[in-house]
Amino acid sequence: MKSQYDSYLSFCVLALTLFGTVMIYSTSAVFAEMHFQDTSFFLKKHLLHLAVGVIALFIGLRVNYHQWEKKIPWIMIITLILLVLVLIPGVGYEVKGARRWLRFYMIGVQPAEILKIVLIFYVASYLNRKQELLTSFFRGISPNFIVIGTYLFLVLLQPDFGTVVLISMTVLLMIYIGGGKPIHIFGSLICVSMIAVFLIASQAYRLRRFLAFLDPWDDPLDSGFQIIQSFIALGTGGWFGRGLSQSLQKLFFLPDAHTDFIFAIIGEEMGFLRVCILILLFAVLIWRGYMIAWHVNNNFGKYLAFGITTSISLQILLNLFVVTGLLPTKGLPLPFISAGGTSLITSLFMVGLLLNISQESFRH
Amino acid sequence: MNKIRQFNVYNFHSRIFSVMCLIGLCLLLVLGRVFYLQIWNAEYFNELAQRQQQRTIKLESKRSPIYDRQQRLLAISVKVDSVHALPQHVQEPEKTARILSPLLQMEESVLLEKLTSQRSFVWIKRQISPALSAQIKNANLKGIAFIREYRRYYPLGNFAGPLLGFTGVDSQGLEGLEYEYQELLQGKKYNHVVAQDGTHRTVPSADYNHSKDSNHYTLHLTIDSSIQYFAEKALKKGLARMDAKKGIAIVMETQTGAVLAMANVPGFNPNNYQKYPRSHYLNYAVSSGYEPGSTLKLVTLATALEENILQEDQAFFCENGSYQIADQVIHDVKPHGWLTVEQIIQKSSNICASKIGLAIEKETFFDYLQQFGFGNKVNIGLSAEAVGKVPAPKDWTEVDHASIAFGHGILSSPIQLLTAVNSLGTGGMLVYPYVIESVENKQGRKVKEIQNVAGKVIYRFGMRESKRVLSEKTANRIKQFMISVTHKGGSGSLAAIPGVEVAGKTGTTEIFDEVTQAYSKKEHIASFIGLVPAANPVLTILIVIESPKKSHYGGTVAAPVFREIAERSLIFMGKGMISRKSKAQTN
Repeated sequence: MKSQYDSYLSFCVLALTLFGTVMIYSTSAVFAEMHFQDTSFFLKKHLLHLAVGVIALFIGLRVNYHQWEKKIPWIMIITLILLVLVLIPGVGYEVKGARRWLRFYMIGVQPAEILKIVLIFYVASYLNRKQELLTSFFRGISPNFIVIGTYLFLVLLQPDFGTVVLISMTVLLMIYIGGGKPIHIFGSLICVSMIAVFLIASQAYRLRRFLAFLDPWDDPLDSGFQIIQSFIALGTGGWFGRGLSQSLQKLFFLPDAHTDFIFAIIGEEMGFLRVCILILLFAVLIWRGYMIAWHVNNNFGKYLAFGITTSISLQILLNLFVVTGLLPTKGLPLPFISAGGTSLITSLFMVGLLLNISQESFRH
Repeated sequence: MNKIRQFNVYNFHSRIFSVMCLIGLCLLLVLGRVFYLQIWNAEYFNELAQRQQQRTIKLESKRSPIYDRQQRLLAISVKVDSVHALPQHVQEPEKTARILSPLLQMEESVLLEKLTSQRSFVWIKRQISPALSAQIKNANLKGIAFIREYRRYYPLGNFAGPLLGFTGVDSQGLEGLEYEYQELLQGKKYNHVVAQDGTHRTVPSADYNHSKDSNHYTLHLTIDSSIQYFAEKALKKGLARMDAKKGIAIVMETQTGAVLAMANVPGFNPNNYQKYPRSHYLNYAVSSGYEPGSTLKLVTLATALEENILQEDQAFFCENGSYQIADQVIHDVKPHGWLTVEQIIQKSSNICASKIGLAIEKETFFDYLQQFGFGNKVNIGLSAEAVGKVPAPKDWTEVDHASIAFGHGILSSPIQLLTAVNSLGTGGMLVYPYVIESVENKQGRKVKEIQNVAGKVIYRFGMRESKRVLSEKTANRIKQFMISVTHKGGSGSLAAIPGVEVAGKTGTTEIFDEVTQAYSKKEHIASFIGLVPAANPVLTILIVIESPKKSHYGGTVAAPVFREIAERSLIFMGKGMISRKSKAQTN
């Protein structure tokens, strides 16, 4: 039984998660000590999420995902309800000006994270059923855009710009892989970009972030602060780093050191050579993900595996681009590494599904 | 359908491959970017990091101690707690103030004001005793914290205060040696780089060590605290006996110039200098100027003898106590007739001294005075040294000329007079006084001089080069004459020590009142200077006592003080060859 799962993928995920756990403790201990008088506050939280994530991984591994294809309309409706609920003040839980959380008893859930999987299922199923329509923009692609656009619009209202970018790019790549005409994809990309530009310009904080991205030194104390601090963290790492737990930038210089910007501290503590190993782990994970999509013998599984891998890869890339200053700042955690419950659980669930699909591809 | 199947087989794989390539390229881009940030541009970011992660703080090194010549501690810095409040963290200000008030002996309202201050940091009391600090710590009060500071402590208390001086609460030297050698004792504040975090707090880390800087020095004084003690004690006793205002005593090693004691009474306790008036801080031994009076006759006679104006066996007529020069009449204490040179010193005749003085050319006399060090600093290495005053010879009237001959119309500091007269005990060599034998650097090496970065000597310690001012013959002659002063019939007979010959000279001057522009008939300065043992002097001692009430003669006021100091010092130094037998003989 064991050999049926993709062992490279399993190894990568295991290594990344363990490394992430160590780094979360390293990056959050001082912050936790200051705010919660407990150095392991975030570590404990993370371990709890990890436990739930492992359960999610096994669920993903055991379910018959083919059966879920039929339940997609219901799932879509439930997700829609959650996305609307989260926007209602008092129901949705607000953190740093963004209403992204729903709370069920003590458990916080980000509907946008759920939407990530749900839309991958939705598009995979659509591609599986209506592939012949894909060459037509109006009959094939645009209805998709209307449905997906509605969901993304709700996410934008939270607002969660990062997730919207992530999902739209995943969806476009899925349509491309499903046989969509490159011209349609490009056209859509340009449209989406224009909407993005409009959205950036419409929100003062996004515009500031964008301008800060173009020239962080223009306003080093305010909007450019985080990215400069990220550069300094990476820059002081050198080849071998300061050593585990030796980061100085995590001492209240770099905001979100244990969440979105954890990679910068990894660079500072671990150095360039170990960062290469980390990126290699990500590369192997992505490669194995696509190989599963490559080999699986049913179309739904193919698209699902591709969608999941793409979603994870894009999230990795977007996070790394932001941390290294290649893209303007947006709130996306680094999969498997950053602290952040729902993201970790979703990622592990997606890995579970991937392994599940890999079972089939190897069986063949 | 056929077309789609073809697409599936062919296009899916090529498209998934292209997506993989795209993502692979993106990962390489990230890697390149990380390389650029971490390796290529590392220097720049390291510099930025240093700028924000490090803070240079000025650290004060522990102030060096001061030792006497017997390696006894005169001043030392000890670590004590200073208590302060962080008002934002104080939970019950009223209760805290109530607890602290009796401990710190501060008003509750004053404390409450500090505890409820808007500032984030307020000193409550600096440098408290360890016992008090422990009591406050035990009370476990929220928002009350401690900082370790160095406090200057003078183990001997009210002892050599004006010489040592004291330091302020921030350990800066304010008076005396502490002030003069601030730079050496304190060292420069040195920069220390510490790590700081994003909230500007210092990061506690292992390499936060107080690396000792090498630029501060321990002072080793020539002062002998035993002799200093004898001097202060005898002086206090003498002052009490005569109901005098203040007095000084200087004890110097005759042949080297090392100052063994420099006592100022009343003085003060540098541990709580705030309780004394400012006038007590001054080291009058070097910083005041006074008319030396008869003690200067020694210089006059030495000059005349050296210049062959006077023969040692010559006799002078003392005009029976009253002598007119120009419009002034000079008096002697007692009327004298003919006196030999020795008798002039013994009886201290002003009239004969002025006759001899007038026989010396103005310029020659002035030159000698300058050679002896009058009108110039002796550069003993203490702050606020007085220059004194010798008027230029072209301005001298005949009266001035005559007055200077017996020590009036000229200002000298006690240390200047001591230096000048001391040359009679060294066979005519002028030996410069000094109070610092050597300084000890951090490596434990005692050094005699300190150079600045340019290699120029900025401090020099220990014995200095002496200079000849008199021939040996003249010096010894005058010294010989001085012995008669302490013999029966001499003006300083009370200075005599049984079994030891003392060469000395008394001095009595009326204090010149700046307000009335006249010499006071009531306020006097009584002084005595002596060399012991006379044959081969070891100690030169000067006593100056201001405004004695019971008597005003140097012989009755200052001479007994001299005797007590000299006797005890000689015994202490093992030089006092006093036997019961010799004592019995004199009695």
